[in-house]
Amino acid sequence: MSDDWDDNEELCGEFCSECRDMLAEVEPVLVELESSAEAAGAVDSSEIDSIFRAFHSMKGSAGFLGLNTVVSVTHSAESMLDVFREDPALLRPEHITLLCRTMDFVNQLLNQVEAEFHDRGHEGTGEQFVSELDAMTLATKAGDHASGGDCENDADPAGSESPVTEDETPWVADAEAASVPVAAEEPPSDESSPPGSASDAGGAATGGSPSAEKSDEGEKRASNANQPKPSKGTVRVDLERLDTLMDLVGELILAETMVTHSPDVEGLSLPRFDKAAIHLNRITRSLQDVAMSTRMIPVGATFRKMLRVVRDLARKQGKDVELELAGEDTEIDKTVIEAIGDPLVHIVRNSVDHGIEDADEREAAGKSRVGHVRLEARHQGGEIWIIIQDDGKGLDREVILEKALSRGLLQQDTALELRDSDIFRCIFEAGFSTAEAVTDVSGRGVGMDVVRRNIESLGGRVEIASELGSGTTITIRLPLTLAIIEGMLVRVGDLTYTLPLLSIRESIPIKQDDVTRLTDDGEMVRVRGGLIPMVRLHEYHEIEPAAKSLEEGIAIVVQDVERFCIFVDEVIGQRQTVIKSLPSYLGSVRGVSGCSILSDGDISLILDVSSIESDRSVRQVRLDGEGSRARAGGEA
Amino acid sequence: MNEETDQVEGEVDPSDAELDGVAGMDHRYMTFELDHQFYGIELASVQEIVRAQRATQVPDVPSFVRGVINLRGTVVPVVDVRRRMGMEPIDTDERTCVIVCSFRGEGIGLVVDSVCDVVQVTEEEIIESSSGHTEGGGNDEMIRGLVRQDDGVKILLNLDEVLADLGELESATAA
Repeated sequence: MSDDWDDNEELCGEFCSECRDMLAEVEPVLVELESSAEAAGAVDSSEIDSIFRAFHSMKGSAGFLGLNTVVSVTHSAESMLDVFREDPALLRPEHITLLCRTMDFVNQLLNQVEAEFHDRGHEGTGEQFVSELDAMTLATKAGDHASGGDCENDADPAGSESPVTEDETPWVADAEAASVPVAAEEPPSDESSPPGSASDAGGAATGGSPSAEKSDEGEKRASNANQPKPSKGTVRVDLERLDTLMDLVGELILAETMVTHSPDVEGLSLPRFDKAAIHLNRITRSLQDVAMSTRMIPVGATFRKMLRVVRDLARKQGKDVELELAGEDTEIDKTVIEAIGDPLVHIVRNSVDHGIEDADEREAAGKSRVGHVRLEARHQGGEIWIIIQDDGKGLDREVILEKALSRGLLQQDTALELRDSDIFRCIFEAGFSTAEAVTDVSGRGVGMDVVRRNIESLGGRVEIASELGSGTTITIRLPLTLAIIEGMLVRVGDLTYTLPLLSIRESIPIKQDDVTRLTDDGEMVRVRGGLIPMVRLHEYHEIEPAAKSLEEGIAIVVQDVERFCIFVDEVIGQRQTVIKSLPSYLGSVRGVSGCSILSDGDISLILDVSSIESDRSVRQVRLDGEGSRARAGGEA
Repeated sequence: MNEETDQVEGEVDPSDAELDGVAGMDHRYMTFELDHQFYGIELASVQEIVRAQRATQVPDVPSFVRGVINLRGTVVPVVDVRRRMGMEPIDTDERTCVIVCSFRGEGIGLVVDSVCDVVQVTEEEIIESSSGHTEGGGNDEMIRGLVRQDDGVKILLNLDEVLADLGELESATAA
């Protein structure tokens, strides 16, 4: 078979991504099943059916590709599920646990298949899994429920394994006859031909006509049947192509503006031209919307992964936690979704680990014994908000404050003026943990800073609100897409910069009197009684400004972590722009995250507020500023 | 192994030239003018020539980088060759051109006084720059050689050295 792998590479990739989809779909069902199993009785047999079908489909495809370990593992899982199909009442949480582990194991196998195009390396573990599954199935069948759990650990390989290997060939045949996923792609006449040529045909179909293949998949989904979601015709498209499409649409809009606002037609009365231009504009805008929406996928799949995270962790810690999902249909840019997966796991884990108390503790505090974590996604303004809310013990302002002071993150004398959110934000600092005991899950203080960095790298922000005793709410605010930025255009000299709208707080005119120069390269400006550092963009980037005095320009208050001002010549206005990266030849440019092309064809540099802030000079000013404030406080 | 090298040794020059010809090495050069002197770069690396347009200044780059321009939606950095060669910069006029070259998979524009011609240069015509002519100011590395043709001497540039890595250049110009 190994000779065929070259031809099968594509098929394998297809197989793996299909299996992952199936696993991802099944996992939440499994978790749900568990809760109903625990509630004793009312297990929905159609749910068991859908899991059974998923394993069955995987087995079929794996058989076709000769992935024997996957075949035997999924077969055993299938046999086990078959028992519950007949009598759902036999289902126990330990079965679910084993099935969960089986799914993880299959996932591992898939990784191997993808990387090495075989699943042989895990032979030993595969056998172990098979025997575990079979032993438990046997035990359950025998009606010996109590010992079912024990079998999980000490399985008996001898008895249970032989049927598996014996049956192996029939399954493969079965898979081909049933025309499950991959087999469905080959012409019927090839059914009896050797696997090599059949897979060739399959491979050709895969490469040649994505649309045909997709309709197959559509059918497949439909034949998988009985699934709550209606089957939609979908096409997998290379993300790079979507990016190109997005780029081209961006260009189209620019070109359109160049034509319709061309100096050549300016001032002319051209009613027909104007009418056509408006029509064109309407089309390009809808095209932009559509192009953008192609990159958007619902956040649901990522959310449902959290069910498992919560389940595993709650189980481990003996807590009772219920995860509520809301706004699963909310669509987010695919790259954003991929990037928030890990931060989300982290925050959810933190909520369960640190937030939710033990059942007894909860009862004593007058709360229900079951902890509640709510995960919600929704559109808010031009942003996507992902809200993770728990009804746990909340953050203790004083404990965090104390820790922050001892670590020098906050200054003692400013402590009283600090808002809760300022203090809570400290938990996002590197190495900050208030957990008294470090568990293997969280509490080491690594993580929240990574969470913040990940989200900031997406142009988003994390906010945190908490009330001691009643819970914590963490809000992740993300831009709708990474490809487009809502920005404020500002002018300095003859350069136009774009400031991400997300980080702008306000813009204020300032007077010479408001400004205090602290050191040679730092100054503070007084804004409504408070002093905040100011960066003059023309000094920062060494350009010739148009505004010769402070009164002629304007200060824009921005905030990443702390507030500071950026002084510019003038504010031009708000624009939506397509983000482009700077040519790699230029290397990284201080304080600039990328560039965008303006409607007149000029290029605007997009300012990176967080990197300007973390730039040494601004830091320096802040420290000096705080120092001087501290001195002033001391004297008073 | 030794035998082979021995055999070739006697006729290194002709075989090299032949090889180049066979391998399709392009010996055509795009010539341009800087301060009344003709220069040339290999035509193979030239993507296109556009009229000079106002470049958006980019901070934190060596002074010979004029900034970036919008080339039909692609952001392309432009290098002022005059400055790069240590000459006085001049104002952009209607003859000023940007030669867009491909360098490490990316387009980079070279600002020149004016673009002239494409000329054919044979390997024998190239006089190594070390044999006499030096421009002074440490430009030797950038110069691949000289060519004397009917209409005068042309200086052939080594694009890799002209552009090189900005990081290295920065430290070099700072020193």
